[in-house]
Amino acid sequence: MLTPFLLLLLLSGPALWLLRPHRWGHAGWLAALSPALVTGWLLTQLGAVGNGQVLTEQRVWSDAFGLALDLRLDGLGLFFGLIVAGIGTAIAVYAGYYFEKNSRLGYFYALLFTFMTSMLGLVWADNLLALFVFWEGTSITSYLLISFKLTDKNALEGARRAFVVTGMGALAMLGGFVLLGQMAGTYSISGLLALPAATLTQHALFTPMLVLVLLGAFTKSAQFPFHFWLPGAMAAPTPASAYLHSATMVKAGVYLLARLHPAFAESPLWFWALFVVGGLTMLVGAVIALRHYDLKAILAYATVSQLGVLVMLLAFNTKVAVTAAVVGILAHALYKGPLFMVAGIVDHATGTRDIRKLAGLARSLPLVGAAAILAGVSMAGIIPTFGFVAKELLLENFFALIEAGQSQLGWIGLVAVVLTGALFVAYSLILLWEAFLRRSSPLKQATVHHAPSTLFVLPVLALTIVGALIPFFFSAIEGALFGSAGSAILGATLEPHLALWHGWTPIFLTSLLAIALGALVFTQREGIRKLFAKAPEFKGQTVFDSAVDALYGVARWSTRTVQGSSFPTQISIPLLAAAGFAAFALRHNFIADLRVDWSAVPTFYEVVLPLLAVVAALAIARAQSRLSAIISLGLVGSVVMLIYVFFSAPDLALTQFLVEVLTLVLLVFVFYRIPNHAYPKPPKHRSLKYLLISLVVGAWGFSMALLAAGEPLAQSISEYFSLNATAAHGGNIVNVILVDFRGFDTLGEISVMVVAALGGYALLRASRLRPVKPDKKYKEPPHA
Amino acid sequence: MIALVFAGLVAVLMASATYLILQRHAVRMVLGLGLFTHAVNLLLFGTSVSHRGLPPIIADKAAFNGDISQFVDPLPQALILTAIVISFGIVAFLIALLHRRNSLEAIGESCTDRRNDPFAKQAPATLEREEEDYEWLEDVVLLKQLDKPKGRR
Repeated sequence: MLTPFLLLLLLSGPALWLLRPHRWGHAGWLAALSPALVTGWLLTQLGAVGNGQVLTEQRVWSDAFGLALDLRLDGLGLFFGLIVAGIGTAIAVYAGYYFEKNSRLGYFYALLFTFMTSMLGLVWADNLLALFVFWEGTSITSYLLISFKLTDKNALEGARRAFVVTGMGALAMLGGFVLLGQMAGTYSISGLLALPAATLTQHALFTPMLVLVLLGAFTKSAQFPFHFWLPGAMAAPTPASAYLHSATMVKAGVYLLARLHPAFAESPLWFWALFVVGGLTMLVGAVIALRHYDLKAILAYATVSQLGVLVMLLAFNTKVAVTAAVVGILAHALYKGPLFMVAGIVDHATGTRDIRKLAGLARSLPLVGAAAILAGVSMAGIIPTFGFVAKELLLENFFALIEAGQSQLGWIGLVAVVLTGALFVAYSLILLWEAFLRRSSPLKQATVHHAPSTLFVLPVLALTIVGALIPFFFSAIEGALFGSAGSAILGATLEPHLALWHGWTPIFLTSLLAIALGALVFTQREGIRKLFAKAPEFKGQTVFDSAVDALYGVARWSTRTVQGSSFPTQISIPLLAAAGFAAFALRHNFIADLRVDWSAVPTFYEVVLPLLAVVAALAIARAQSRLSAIISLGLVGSVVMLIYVFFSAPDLALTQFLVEVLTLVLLVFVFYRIPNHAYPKPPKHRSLKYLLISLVVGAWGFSMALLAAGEPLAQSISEYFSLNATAAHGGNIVNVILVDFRGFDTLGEISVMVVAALGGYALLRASRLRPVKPDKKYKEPPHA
Repeated sequence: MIALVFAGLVAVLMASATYLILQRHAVRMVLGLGLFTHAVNLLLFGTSVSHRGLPPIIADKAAFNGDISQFVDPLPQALILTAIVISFGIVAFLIALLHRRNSLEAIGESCTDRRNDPFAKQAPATLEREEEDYEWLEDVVLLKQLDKPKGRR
């Protein structure tokens, strides 16, 4: 059933595009049908998959090459699939209203559904390479979605940044996957995870492989120092931001880490990389979120921070950490998605997203305000929300660490988490208070001029309410949803017992401390913002942009040096480079390689004829008249022909003879019609330079010829040709090679001749444009 | 010994060909290119000359006993045969190009300078040039229609 659903989603995008949804109102509800269907089906599988069943599916593409699409639905795949399809349903409805009468709505849907297909394929794929293909599918659709507004320069640059950063990461990851496949002997993910962990972690290539795979996961999930692309991606239309850049795509990295967790979690490198990078991202994201005033920018940095939390949690190989990660993923999707959508509605209604200009939206837009407050409280992690549960589990992880004896690590983590938690509380409060609750704003206040319809707000409210209700139904879903997903991450059975209220435990008190700290920051926000405005900011974006500029600079410089001068310079660079490379390759065993076989003594003619050719060649180079040069060239050709005769190559001699005559005739005919301009002689130093270059090239030819005549470097295939010529019903081996064994080469040769003939014909015909009337003659431009 | 003779010949041909190509003179360039192809063909041919033998032609197929040591290596010959024909195609095309350039020069378009090179170090105001190029092209097309004698073609 998995492939049909992927196909359904993939096709419904273009189908919607063709139906031109912007012409009919409420198109979003129709668009939401297919993701809703997938969500519904996934919900029916909850029971079975929760009991440990795994759905597998194989679609053979090419049996001979062993290519097949392997899909596998286990607890983790189901969990992520529900997030992707469920939030996708809400986004599909929301986008219908967001774009209202915009004629590009159909295009947006086509991209959105392609993305959804890629994302579902990504979480269901059971093959590393298939996973990579789907992974790149999300990158490309994301690129197209960010650059949706084609006239917005910011959007185009943001899209490019996002694509380059995630694309480079993905390439690194592909390298890692290949290494991993070689190490494990299989590209199947389930087969890989079934191996004993030590076979991978003890392997010599483990470290480079892990670094490459982690690069992919970290860039995709916007981990420090690659976090800068995510806020830049906010130039995408809000439905795309809400979906790709908060709820689903950025979690692809987290998904990959979770998926590979059982195989790698025992390695110390895994632990430290995830712990340090995730922890730094968590802190950096939370701090930067405070400096911004744009609703979407605040939410984007909050997302960066939350992704850091998830990555950090996956560093641990304990039940608590895995439970915290799973709950955190769902909680984040269920509050960040709605908050982004709220930002879009606010933008729609007031025309601005700057929280300094907003005030009192909860009164003018009560439904939106309600959704925002519900989701915002969850983001702050205040009881009794889903976000609160997630934060409690996060704290519990570090308390457990301290109890287990790793107190140093535990305390560091605890302090970082409390600080981050306080910042979460602070910017959640700032956002809610300044945009929705306070009576007036300090700046010119934006007013609601375009109230959203209730149906527009409905998907937002629905998601928020689901998020708000989940904590009250923990006992019903904890096993099937969190338990089965967590078991897949842990590689062992996980039976979480979640509850809203554990009593007055130290964890709860720490949680209160974080909230109190956050409230303190909230009251001091003006001062802190002023402080931030003075402090310098690390701008990965600037670093990235200057790197790109430098790349362009190098391209310009190299093009200019290699190609930017006169033709002689351009042509001598590759010639000298070839000579240089040959000299480099031969420098060690020049004499050894250039073995001369003294036994093959040439006959009298075989010395005289080459001498003749040498004289003729020098005569061409020194010739003053064109006719003598042409005749000398003919002489060289004749000598070459005779050499072919002497050394038993009759076919070559014949061909050479024909070609020589033709060339001569052509040259004489054409040159006869071209007036003999007296070109100025090049200055002496330039002639000397050319002479020097020529000598170097000559020396190169000399060594190449000696090398070729010596011991064969590789085994020749000519014996095979000679022995099998009669099998091809031919006596002339050269002809058999050309026509039978290397027929495609000959076909290519014929095509070259046809192209040259056509080109020559066109050129000769075009010259009939003459004569030109004198008054219409092309005038030299004045600056010539 | 014979390899040395061949190598010397290849070296001289290559050096003179390079010298010709480097001159800023179209005719010499064509001649140089022709010379260069000879040099490269001989370079390839040199791999098979140290082992002398009969031409690689099996006269009597029925009596052929698989004794190939009597023949010279046929592979370089096959490669060179292709190379000769292709290089002739290129030289012929170049000659046609030269001819065409000459007829353009006759109507005043100068092709020898590097103003048309977009990567030249001192790039002129290329935009203006392009515009003029198009104007010129339009003129030529227009002229062609004007020149067409009525009743012919």
